[in-house]
Amino acid sequence: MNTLIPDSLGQLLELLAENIPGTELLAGGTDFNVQCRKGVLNPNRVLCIGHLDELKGIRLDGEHLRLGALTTFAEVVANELLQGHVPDFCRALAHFASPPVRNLATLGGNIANASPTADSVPPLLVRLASLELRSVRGVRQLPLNEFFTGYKRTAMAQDELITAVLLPVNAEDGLHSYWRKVGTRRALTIAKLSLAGMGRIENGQLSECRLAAGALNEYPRRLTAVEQHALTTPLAAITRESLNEALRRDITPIDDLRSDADYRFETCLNLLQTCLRDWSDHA
Amino acid sequence: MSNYILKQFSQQPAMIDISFTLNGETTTITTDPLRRLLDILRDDLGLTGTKEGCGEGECGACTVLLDGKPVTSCIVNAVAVHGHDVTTIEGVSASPDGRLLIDCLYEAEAVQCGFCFPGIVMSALAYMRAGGIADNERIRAALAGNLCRCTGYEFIVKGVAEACRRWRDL
Amino acid sequence: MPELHRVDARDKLLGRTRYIDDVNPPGVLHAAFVVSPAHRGRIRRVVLPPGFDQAAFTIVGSGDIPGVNLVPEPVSDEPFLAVDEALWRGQPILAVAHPDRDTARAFARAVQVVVDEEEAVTDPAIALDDESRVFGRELLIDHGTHEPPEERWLHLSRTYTTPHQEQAYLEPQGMLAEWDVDARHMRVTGSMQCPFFVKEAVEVILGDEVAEVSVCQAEGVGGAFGGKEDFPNVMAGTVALLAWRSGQPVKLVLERDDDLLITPKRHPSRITIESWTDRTSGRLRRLDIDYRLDAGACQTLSPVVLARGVLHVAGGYSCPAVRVRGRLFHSDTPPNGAFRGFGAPQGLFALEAHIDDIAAELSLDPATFRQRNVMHAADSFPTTQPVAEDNLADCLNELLSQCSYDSLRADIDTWNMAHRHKLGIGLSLGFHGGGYTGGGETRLASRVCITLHPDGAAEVLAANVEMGQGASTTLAVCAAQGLGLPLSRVRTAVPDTARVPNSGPTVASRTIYIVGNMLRRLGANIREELGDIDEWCEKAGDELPRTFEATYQPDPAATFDEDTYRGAAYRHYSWAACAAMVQVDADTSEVRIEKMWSVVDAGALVHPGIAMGQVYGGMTQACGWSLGEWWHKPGHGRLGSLTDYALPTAVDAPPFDVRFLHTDSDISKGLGELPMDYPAPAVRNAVLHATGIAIDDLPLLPERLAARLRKDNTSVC
Ligand SMILES: Cc1cc2nc3c(=O)[nH]c(=O)nc-3n(C[C@H](O)[C@H](O)[C@H](O)COP(=O)(O)OP(=O)(O)OC[C@H]3O[C@@H](n4cnc5c(N)ncnc54)[C@H](O)[C@@H]3O)c2cc1C
Ligand code: FES
Ligand code: FES
Repeated sequence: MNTLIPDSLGQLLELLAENIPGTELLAGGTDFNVQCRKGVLNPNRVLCIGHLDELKGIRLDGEHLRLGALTTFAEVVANELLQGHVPDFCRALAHFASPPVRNLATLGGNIANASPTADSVPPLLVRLASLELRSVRGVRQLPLNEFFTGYKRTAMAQDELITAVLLPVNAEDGLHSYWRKVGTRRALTIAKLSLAGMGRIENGQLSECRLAAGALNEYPRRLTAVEQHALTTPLAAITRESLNEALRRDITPIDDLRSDADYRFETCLNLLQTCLRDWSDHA
Repeated sequence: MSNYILKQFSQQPAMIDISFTLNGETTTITTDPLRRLLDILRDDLGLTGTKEGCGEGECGACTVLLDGKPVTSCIVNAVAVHGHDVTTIEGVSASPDGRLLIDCLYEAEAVQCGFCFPGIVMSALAYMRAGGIADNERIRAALAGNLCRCTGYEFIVKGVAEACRRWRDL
Repeated sequence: MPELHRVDARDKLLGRTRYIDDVNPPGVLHAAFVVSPAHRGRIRRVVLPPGFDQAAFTIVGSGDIPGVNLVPEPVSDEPFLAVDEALWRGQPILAVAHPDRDTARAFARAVQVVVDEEEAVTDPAIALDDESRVFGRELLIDHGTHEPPEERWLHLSRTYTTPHQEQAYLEPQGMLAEWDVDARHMRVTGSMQCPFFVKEAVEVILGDEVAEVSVCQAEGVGGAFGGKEDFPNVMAGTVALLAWRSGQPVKLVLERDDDLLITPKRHPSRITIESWTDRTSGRLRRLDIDYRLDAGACQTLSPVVLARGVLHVAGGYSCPAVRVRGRLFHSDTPPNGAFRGFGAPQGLFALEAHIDDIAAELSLDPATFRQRNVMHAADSFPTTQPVAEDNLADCLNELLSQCSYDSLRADIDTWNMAHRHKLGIGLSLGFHGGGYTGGGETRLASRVCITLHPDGAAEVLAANVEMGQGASTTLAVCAAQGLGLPLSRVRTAVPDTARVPNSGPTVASRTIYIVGNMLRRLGANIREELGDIDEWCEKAGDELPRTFEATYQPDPAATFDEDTYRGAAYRHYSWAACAAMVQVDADTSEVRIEKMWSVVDAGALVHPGIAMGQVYGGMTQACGWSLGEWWHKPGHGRLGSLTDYALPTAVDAPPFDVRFLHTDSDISKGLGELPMDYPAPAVRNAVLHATGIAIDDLPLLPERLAARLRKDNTSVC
């Protein structure tokens, strides 16, 4: 195995442009080290990026809050700029792992690792986040919604990396939010399922409704059928049965070591109901 | 990190020089850039106070402070330490708040087998240094990454709360 | 008197205590196991991996064993290293050693073991339902059941199950062997509970090749809970074999995932209780109990767990007719072993759940039903042993006032009418017999010593290890109390079979109850013999150091018939009562333990702080077992890492309110295991109160609760 420590982002991009199969980036290392130890990951070549200043920092950039890919979960939770603009997002990320892991794990790594259980993704999806992807070929912005293409698969090209996460600065303005992660215990837990939501209620009807779930599909996804149903139906007419029917089109939960498909479905339905009830109670 | 030159190695193990502050002293070693910080501390530098309970970030026994923040050293690589500041359990008694914390845990009868404690102490110290107050819920949240199988946490929380209280009164 | 703190705490807090992985003698080789990849089958071949310098490795298998390839246990049916058959997935087949730890591990992982796989049963539910799998001796307690039960009595029959539980000591298993080839002396140091067991294991595996074996506890033992009672025999045998073969020191420290895969766990159980209760008086009339344990692939010490299990499963209740049948069942999983409670938690879970189920049938408050039936002096155990005291009833009554039970239950019922997330409170009682079962202590004939040194210090010599439970402090306190010396003058020697007498293993809640009480008596005898110890020491001169010894004195009146299971199974019992308050989440069916109360009678407390720590820790393990710890998910395999095997974190463990009763007693009783025995059913009963749903299988997974909520079509909303 070859380990390389590029001097700058530019140099990193050149190394990526060599398109050598089996290349892995090492950011916070929380997935990388565990996966290497378990033999899930056997990289040929490791490019260390944790020291690159170009990938760090949280700042306001026009319409967007720009979070460098190396932003850790702990930084999000404690960042004053983010607490000012997207306080609920900061709170949501406090449910991630444990304090020492939050100090290491990066947003870029969480997204790029593309696990169905990646906890930052549902809250980012409902806030309409996009990613800044970079390669020697240039820079592009991709809505997070379009980033995942399958189980542990992404739209990132082999020579690309995530350089930043972009959050609309007004992502939470005037909106209700919801976040619930269900795991095997109250901390240090991989999600059995999770649900994030942002919505607005006007005249007894949702005028804005974004919902996203983790661990219920091959990758975290928006619940488009439920959203459609909720946006086109007066709140009073939304029933458990109608949500149930829409949700069936949105998620494909499985039985595994951590939980069961039935439980995941039923619990997601319960959470959806609670989310909508909470919003309408506070409308 | 600017003193880094791009290094291309053809064979394993590829070694780099890293230097960092360890318990207040500048330390330089030649090592594999991916070597675990935990192994550097325990095996290369003989600081065996830091423990390995799982090797996967799950138990917290290996917690050290990296630039003052608790991290699980079993999933931190050498390359991430270069140019940074590391404090381990061996460095705790050099500071007054560290000594106070140790005294309070001692008096609270918090310790049983002791294997989790080098990690617990580091997380608790970081909590104190971040201005943590004697609030049981917050202390428990700050210790959520440090498993203890012996104590049920009750006396640990009590000891940390007492340390926060006394530190504020100083 | 100034407050005494643990003597080992400061070094542990400062990271100075040396656990076995912190010890690396010059030239040490690091070892790793090659284990069976198959649950069961004939081992066809073992292929060593290419790409390694094989000459640099020491490799041993069963064929290299000069002595006997059977681990000494109550039933010695487990090989150190597999011979031709793989008996469970994770069974050690070879052991390898190399100067570099990571290379040794990588090599061991890369060894290819080809097994002709045979059909295997790994699901405890299947194993425990198949009578053809019974092995070992069946135990029977039968008392007062000659008359058939009366028709008018309430008859209830239910089956309860409990899962594997991993000890999850935070320090993985570790052992070091050093071979002195000239003296043919094998020196073993490590993380263990029972140095003299380990000594025997090394003698067995090396046979005539070794002239002397000495075994020493590592300075720090990072938790054990029973998990370092039997498996260290395998660890020590293996490293000793490698050290003998290579001539170099060899250390084996398991990686966590291997530790989870390979080592013994708590026995899964399936317990059917049939009860008859007089509806008018609300008194239990008869219990018929079928107590089954999944022993795993070998019996090893399971018969002893079974014995304690059948002796505790009828609970702390007065019942004139009791029949208990206990059996071990075979499955293709690691031999299950010792874990705090040792068969009692399984039985008490079933029985205490059943008590609530009866109370529900009778529409009686579970507290009232317990008060009517709890044991008193003049009652007898199913073994006919008379109950000596009312202390369990005292614990129950104290508990009910401690948690303001009546008003709390009423408040909860009111709250639940107005809230989606339901609260509940549940109760349980528990007891634990101290020391070895039956005539075990008589056979052990433990010995302890106290040495008076020229510097005026007294040293306790005993084989019981400090594994976190505080033995190095509490044994010294016991001796100091007897001698009339301040604790600062008394120290406990690190157990080393070359130096200390055999005071028996560090198991069965016997360290203080047996060894501590012996030391207290020995100290008092020394004081009686010598008069003022300081004065005597001053005059003694050359007589110092002088060692005094005592041997365990059995009570001739307390006998137990191991054929009929009649008589005094234990000389003293510790007692406890518990209440748990839970909240059940309406959306997720997750159970959160809000608070736990307990009242405990363990007699005189040698050290109140250490005693309290034992109770908090044991109860937290029981909370884990009740809510989320299990090891085998049918159809999905094993929770093979600490990621999935979910131990309670600091935010999961509830706050506790614990009180001790009868601390003015003149005897200190067993305390180590008791707090693990009884809290789980209190949690189950609290969930029953909160939701109306009786879950009879641990753990109380939200998946199970949610499925029942769906089926019963009751909604917690
Ligand atoms: C104990 C523990 C608990 C955990 N708990 C949780 C949890 O509760 N919720 C959860 O979601 N996850 C959890 N995780 C998983 C993990 O922490 C996260 O996925 C983390 O965010 C990954 O970030 P990293 O910087 O550590 O990534 P690394 O491990 O450094 O990298 C992970 C992967 O991402 C790629 N990568 C990294 N950065 C970039 C980039 N900028 N552009 C492109 N590719 C990149 C790498 O090539 C690699 O394949 C846990 C992990 C541990 C060890
Ligand atoms: S050893 Fe690092 S977290 Fe367990
Ligand atoms: S004291 Fe033993 S694990 Fe914490």
